[in-house]
Amino acid sequence: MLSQASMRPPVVPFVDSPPRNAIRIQGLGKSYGAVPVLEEIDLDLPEGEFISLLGPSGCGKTTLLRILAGLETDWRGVVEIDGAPVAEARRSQEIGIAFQRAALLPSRTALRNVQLTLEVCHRSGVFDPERLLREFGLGEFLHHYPHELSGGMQQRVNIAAAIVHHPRLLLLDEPFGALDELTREALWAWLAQLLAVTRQTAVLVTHCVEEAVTLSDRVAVMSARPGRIHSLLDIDLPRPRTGRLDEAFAREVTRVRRSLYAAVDAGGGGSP
Amino acid sequence: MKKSWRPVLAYFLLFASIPLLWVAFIHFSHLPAVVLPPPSKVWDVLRDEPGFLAYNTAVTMGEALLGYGVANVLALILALAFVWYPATEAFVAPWTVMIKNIPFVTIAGILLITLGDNLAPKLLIVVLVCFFPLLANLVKGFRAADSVLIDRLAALNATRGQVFRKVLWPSALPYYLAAHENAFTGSIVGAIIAEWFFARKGLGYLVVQAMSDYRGDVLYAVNLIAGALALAAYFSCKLMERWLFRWKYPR
Repeated sequence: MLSQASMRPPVVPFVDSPPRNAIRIQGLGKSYGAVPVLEEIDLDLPEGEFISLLGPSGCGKTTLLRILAGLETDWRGVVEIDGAPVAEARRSQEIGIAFQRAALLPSRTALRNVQLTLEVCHRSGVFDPERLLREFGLGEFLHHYPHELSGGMQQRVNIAAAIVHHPRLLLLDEPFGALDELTREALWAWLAQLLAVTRQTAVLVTHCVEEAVTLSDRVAVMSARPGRIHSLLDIDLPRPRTGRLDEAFAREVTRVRRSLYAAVDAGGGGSP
Repeated sequence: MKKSWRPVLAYFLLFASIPLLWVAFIHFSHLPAVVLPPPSKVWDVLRDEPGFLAYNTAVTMGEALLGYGVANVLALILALAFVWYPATEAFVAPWTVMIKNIPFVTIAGILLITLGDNLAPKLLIVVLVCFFPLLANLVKGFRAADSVLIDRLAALNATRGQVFRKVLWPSALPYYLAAHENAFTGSIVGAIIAEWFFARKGLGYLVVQAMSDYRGDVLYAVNLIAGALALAAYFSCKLMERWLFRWKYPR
């Protein structure tokens, strides 16, 4: 994976100065017209943590992610990234985002699609796009166009384009949702390994319980109409967790799933 | 035979059969040479007065290309205004709908009696003919841009200019080229029609003159020239498209 030189030093928590919050959300609310989408969202995320937003469709988890990316306006409350307003984080290009549908230009090769991010960014300490793609197992496909790549490969290019400028915050909106199960599991392992090195703070929107349990330090289970955080669950499993069939993993999956069903019942008629 | 050679052969057959059909039609229809001159007489016109024909062709093409350029600039500006400031579209669209739907030949009459025999009315007519397909396709192309990709660049705080260069323009390009196929030929049509109304030079003027003089041979010669120009315009668009979208084709 990524070399030592590209690693961030691990966060060392001191007794009197706990790791600072990468994300602080307080009393966040958002409505579309008269319809409340998000209400009273409070969430603190320490630096380097991986959190999943899990919930039924319509619970506003994607809207929450878009607010963090600075893509939404007209919301209420406080949202801070690294202690500054979210617009500031966007201006300093501290955000990398990957959506379910790979956002690639059909007329650019895999390599040039990753370079697209750097053409817009003016940051130092970025990854070398070519090396990044090689480390992502796409060395032979640098000069292939998106339509010549499989869905899993496209998504790897997409994530490469999202992290190539080394943002502090990685936002993932169901990036594996459209892939088949085996590809998805392979990419979970790959992403977990990647983040173990880059130690970026990451927020994942998903509706897949196994995905949330495999990748997250914490899972925020949301209920719908309006979207609220129903419960926050710590996932206390040793890493790496992928491909595990043991009981502890199954127990965590069941625990999260139970909480999800409770959230669905609590919500205003959302479906899982 | 390789498949890729089929269109080349098909066009070769087309061009080879035109004189044959022409001669055959004269033979069976018994039309007089004044109405339907034989290819040899038309060839004589082309051979005897190359300078005169070239001058009038250049006049027409000059008007067509200039008007075409103006139409492209206007269409690009207006399409971007529509996409970036949707309010503009609400207020400008009724005007474009109205102007587009008045048959342009009737507007041409008004323009010519108002502005007289100079470049201005001819340019305006050419612009009228090719502006609307260009505008419609550019707007469609910009709107077809991947919203996910635009969001990704927005999260990177990309400027409007960057979003235009990296996303909007590449996604509008196929639509834009498709518009050229029609609009480029349309600009030549517009220029000829403008000259037809009121002019002392240009291919349209030659048509009017030849008709009043019963010079079928000149009419056919002008037809050959205009046809060749329009076809050349069409094929240059096709070649451009093939080159710009070479990445689409299997290596």
